[in-house]
Amino acid sequence: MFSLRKLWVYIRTVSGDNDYEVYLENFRCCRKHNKDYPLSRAEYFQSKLEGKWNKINRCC
Amino acid sequence: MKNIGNKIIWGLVSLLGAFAFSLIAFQREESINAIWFITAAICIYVVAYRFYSAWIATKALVIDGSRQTPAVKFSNSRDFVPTNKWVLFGIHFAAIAGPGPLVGPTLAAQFGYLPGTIWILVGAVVGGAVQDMVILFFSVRRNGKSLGQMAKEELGALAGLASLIGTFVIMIILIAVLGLVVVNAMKNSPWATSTVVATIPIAILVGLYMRFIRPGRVLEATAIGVILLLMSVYMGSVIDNSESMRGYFDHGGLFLAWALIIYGFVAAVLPIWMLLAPRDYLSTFVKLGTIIFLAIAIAILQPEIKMPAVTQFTDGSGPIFGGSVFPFVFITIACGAISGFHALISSGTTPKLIDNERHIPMIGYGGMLLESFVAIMAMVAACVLEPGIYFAINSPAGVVGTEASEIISKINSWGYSVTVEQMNQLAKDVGESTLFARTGGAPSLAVGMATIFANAFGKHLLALWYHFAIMFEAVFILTTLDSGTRVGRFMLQDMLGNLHPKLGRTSWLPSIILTSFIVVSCWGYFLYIGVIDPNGGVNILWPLFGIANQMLAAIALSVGTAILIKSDKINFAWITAIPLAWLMIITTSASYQKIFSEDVRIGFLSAASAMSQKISEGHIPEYGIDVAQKLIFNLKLDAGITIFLVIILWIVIIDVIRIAVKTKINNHKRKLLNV
Repeated sequence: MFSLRKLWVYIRTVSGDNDYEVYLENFRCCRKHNKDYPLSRAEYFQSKLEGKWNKINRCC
Repeated sequence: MKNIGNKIIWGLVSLLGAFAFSLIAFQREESINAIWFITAAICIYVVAYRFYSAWIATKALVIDGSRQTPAVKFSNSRDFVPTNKWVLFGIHFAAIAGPGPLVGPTLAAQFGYLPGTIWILVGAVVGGAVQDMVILFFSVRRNGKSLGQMAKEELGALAGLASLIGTFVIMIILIAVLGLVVVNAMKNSPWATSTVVATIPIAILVGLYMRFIRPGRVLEATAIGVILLLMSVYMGSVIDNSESMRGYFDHGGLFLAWALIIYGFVAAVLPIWMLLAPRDYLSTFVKLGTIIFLAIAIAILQPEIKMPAVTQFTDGSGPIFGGSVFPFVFITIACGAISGFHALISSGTTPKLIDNERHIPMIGYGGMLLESFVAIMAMVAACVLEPGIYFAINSPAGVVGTEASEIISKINSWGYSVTVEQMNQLAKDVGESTLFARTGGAPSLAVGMATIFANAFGKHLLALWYHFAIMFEAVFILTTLDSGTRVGRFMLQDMLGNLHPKLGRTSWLPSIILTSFIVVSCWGYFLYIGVIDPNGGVNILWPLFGIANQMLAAIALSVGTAILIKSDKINFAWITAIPLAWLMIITTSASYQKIFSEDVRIGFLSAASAMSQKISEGHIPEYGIDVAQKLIFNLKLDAGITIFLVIILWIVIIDVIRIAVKTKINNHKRKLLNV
């Protein structure tokens, strides 16, 4: 069923707006990160950008 | 009962598609409505997706929904992240959809609407979407390996190297030709130039917001940026009307080319968060929004197509670029039908995000179909223009002359009616001083889009729509330019790292500066030559880009074919082998013509020798000799690059044939032993 809430979540997810929340959720539940504390929002965003733009991710 | 209902529905969709397609193909006496293009495209896409992609997925690839994907196996919330299929569809589409499917069909419309439309539809369904899906699948099965790695493993080291070099060459030519498109759109247009320039501080502002004020709040920052971009379009008109300010933004092509080259270098050296990333967020939203808006506008307005189905320029005498419909329509339209570049995305980020193998057809095949739909809309936008206007905007001065009356009489002599007054009025309506010889595709696409938008949403806003369309094209061309330069830099650093380890370090500033300088110099050279070329530059650069891109597609399809053959699925190898054979024919044939044709508008070498002859016979004035010599050198260089690309293509194809023969012999031996 279509709902505005679902659409909003979709837009946030595609744009990467809720990436940090997903990261925190993942950090808390999975503990695969070998770190005691999660990255701050700013640190996470920075590392995500670095990872995103060190390869081809935009086409012609 | 349900089964019969399904069959009836799919039968009706197929019939509607066939009817719409036959109208496009056979209607000659009366003009045709654009809605039939949209109907034919949608019906063909859904039928192909439902049946062909599903058949490939189940029979040839044997997709297994219970098998763990790399995203699940190596989930680390960084590179490997199991992602919802709709979200990944959006991410994948945003990655593959660049300016190519907008520019290619606009240029190919010189042959009429029919050749390009058939190629976009058939090429995407049988070639491009198959390539994207098959490469995505094989990359997923190989833990997200890149095309280069797969080529190396499946075909050999030479093929791996070929794909690496091919990628680099495409990157350079692509950036140069897209840079030329932007330069031609901004040339002597203070409104367009000021709007495009404004996108730089806006992107920086958005970058600062996301970095320091509200880190990672992508939607907030993007919303602010998009509002500022729209304001910049309006402010452009204020600048254009201000005698004191318009002079700062009124420049010729050469100045703009140098400005773009300097910008490209600075953008490549700056941190990602400052310019590249925020511009990408802006361009993605503007791009998706405009494409949806255009589709709605076409559906509401249902404009009539003014371009004939086939023009006399199929014989190769076209003013926009030289070359007959075969093979050049297939080279000119790459991204909307089949694009090798997509294989880099399908074997790059996307396979590491696939949650379940069952999502592969939707993302790989479906994503390409949507890209093809964008190309269809670009074709419609170009063909709703009066053909006379279309040719007046897109024909370079070197072909039609420089005086308005001279251009008009030339175009009238081709059988397309247009007047000087009509062109002057149109230029005035869109807020430009002239629309003659605005080559590159962007201005005519902008006029086409603006006409559709204005007729659907308000005729008095034509100038604003036109400059919005220019900003829309420029903003993601510049994103491609920034990210392409950066990737080129990484590739170069990777290679130079073999000479000296420090040069391979992506964070070492001297290496960043050196490699950025080399990459920018490479594309800057082609851009410079394109700008000084009296034939507009696009005539040379776009086919070269098409050949390089199709060559990369051929490498990707070769990898797919080789894997199918090696994994005992030789009976299914035709799925990739047929589009591969077609690419082999068109790429080789186009390359041969570009190198050896005696027509100076097609052959690089004949154009170079004709120009040399003109110099020696004194037909070129003293002040033009320097430019002519540069053009001669460039034509010879382009011939060399084309030869190089063809050699790479044939090395890879011979490798595939070798693998096929070897597998066949081994299978035969096995059978004999079993007997």
